[in-house]
Amino acid sequence: MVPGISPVQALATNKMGSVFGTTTSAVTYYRRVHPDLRTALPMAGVALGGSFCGAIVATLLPAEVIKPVIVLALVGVAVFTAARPQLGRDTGLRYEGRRHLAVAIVIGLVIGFYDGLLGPGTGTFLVIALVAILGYDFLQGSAKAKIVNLATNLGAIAFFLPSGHVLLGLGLILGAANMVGGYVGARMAVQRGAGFIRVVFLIVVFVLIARLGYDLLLGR
Amino acid sequence: MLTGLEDITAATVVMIVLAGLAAGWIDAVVGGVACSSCPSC
Repeated sequence: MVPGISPVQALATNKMGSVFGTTTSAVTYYRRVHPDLRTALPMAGVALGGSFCGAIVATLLPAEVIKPVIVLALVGVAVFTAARPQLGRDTGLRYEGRRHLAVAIVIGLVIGFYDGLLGPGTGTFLVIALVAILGYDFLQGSAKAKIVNLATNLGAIAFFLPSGHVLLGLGLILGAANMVGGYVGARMAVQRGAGFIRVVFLIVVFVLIARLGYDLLLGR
Repeated sequence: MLTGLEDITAATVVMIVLAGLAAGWIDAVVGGVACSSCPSC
């Protein structure tokens, strides 16, 4: 949409907008849902490290080879979620104590690595991992995912801002819009609960499959 | 320093605001579809 903007500038500026939006939604979730920070913060820390490592590996791997795998994984997530209407309706933790923390840290590391390596659907995979593997409902899953997203976004912007790739004026406009969207979205999610998030989740997964599938068909 | 606002029209700004609102909303509800490594997002 913006003439003369390079892909890196678009990515960096978009990331700046995301930092504003994610911060707003993370704070809104935190104030209303009170997610367990003893799980979310270690996940966020390892996700940040994993994302950094993934970005390094990304320079060595052709993304075209892995794109079909992402689409297949998303189809798997869609079928898995759609076939289980009770999935994520209520929280029923599958692990306790140190085992819960260890599984959460492994999830944070794997998802963070994936975010740095490829990226598409990172939030989706994170939410479904929190719901299906750890046993959170969709509301608690989304609330924790926001804290992890905030960490990985801050890591990315810490790289992009000093490198001069961020277009500040555009980033601030995008950030303001992201903040409003993030605030409204987080409030709606909290008010309407896990069932609402599950429906939006499925729609987003289907849209993502369609978009990535379309890219694959066109050879992009 | 480039701000990104030098050559854009009011219509483009409106589109960017709408895209930002939608992205923020989706990101808040389900973690979003954006990523840090693909420029097309």
